[in-house]
Amino acid sequence: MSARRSLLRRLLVPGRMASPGGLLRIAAAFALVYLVVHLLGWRQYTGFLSGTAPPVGSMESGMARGLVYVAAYLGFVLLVPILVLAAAIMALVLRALRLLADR
Amino acid sequence: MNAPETTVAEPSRIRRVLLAVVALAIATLVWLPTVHLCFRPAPIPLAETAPVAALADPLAARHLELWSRSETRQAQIERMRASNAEWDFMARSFLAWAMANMALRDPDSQCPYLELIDRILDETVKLEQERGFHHFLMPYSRQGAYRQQPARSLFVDSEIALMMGLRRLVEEKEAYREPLRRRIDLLVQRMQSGPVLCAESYPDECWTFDQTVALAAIRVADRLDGTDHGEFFRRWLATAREKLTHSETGLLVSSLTHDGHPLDGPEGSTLWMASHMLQVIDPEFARTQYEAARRELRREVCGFGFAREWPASWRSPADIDSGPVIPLLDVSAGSSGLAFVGARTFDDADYFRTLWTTLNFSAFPVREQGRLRYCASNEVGDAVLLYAAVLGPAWKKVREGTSR
Repeated sequence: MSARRSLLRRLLVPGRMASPGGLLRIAAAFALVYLVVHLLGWRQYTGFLSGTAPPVGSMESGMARGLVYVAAYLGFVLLVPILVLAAAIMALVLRALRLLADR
Repeated sequence: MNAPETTVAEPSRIRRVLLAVVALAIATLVWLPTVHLCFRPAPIPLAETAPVAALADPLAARHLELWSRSETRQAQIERMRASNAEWDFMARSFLAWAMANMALRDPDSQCPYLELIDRILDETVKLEQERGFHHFLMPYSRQGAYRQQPARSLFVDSEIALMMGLRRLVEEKEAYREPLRRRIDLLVQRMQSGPVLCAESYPDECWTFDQTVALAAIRVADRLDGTDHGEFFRRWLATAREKLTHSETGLLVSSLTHDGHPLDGPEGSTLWMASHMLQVIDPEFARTQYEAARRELRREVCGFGFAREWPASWRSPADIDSGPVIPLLDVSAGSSGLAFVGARTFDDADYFRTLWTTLNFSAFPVREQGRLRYCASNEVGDAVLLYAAVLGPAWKKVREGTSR
């Protein structure tokens, strides 16, 4: 329980997230979620976007899987690059600040 | 209690959070306008007789494979029919029309294309004969009385007629000559007897989409059989300009009663196709409609092109034709899919390319062994895309009057 809480703290506390490593960890989490749903084959459930019935199972369960896949995909395509870029920007700024302080 | 000591080199937690927020804002401003570059296809020369090969070849391979495996195809048909029986029919029509264009472009390899058109036609006509035209319509086709009796659907008649006509345009087939003549006679007679020269597809519902497909089918038959319906075309266009046009935009309305009272205003899912079909009736009027539709419905956000279903001056709830509409952006799946047909018809390479960028981004393509399908789409959506990628040769032949 405490280990889980500690992991959540590391992931969610703003101070922890507000570092290049924190941003990269969040990016990795988004990428991992996308990888999992992609490997599960949930891409085929995105037919709900055109109102088409899912290949197997009920309309509701197909739509739920499709929605999760679309959210994970958008997270991977839109958020992961933003988080990685932000981590790079932050690392550069922090490094520049350290160099200034060293002088 | 003293506050934790901070230095320039080691900023406080608040400063780090602020720095992260600024970094995220900058990254967002950099990434969002550039993300489309990851999905943008190479520039597309939209010459009239050149296919958009990167889209056409793998989509065609997928459809040819699908029609060679009846169990897989049946499963796909059932998935579509669970949502809309019209899609089952339209997937056949667009695929047959696409095959005709492919056969015209590449006569040396037309054999499999012609075989597929014949299979589609024979199976479709058989289903129509055995189960009636309602088999390809939504259930409400049985819930009212058609004004014109005996009841028929222009939707079904016009698309089958165009399939037969384009098949014969590629290579004459005697077995289709008489059935096409009969169906064209029916189209003309039923349209002419309507007060605004429109025939019903559903009880007391005339759809502009179907009227324009019917006009194109009649035009193809004129080329094939030496008939001349020029006077009818002129009367239809005059009526359309006067009575079937939305006053604010100049666009054709999408549906009306048999008496000519508009039921819907202009809709993208109708207009892109109507302008394509009208190109063989009156190219100038067709281009005017396309350009007005482009002005009213085209949208582009961060390099992604799409189409709205309705102009700003007219709105309607989302329906089976518009497909789901994404709020705020007003993206309509139905209108955006058919916008490919309009953009290709009028050599609008820029719009075609931005639409394709959006397709690559949001339609979840799957490529397997040289075949392509879009998971977010279905057979009718993929057939429309294939048709958009290959259209041109058939209309060129009709306009030039070079049928055999």
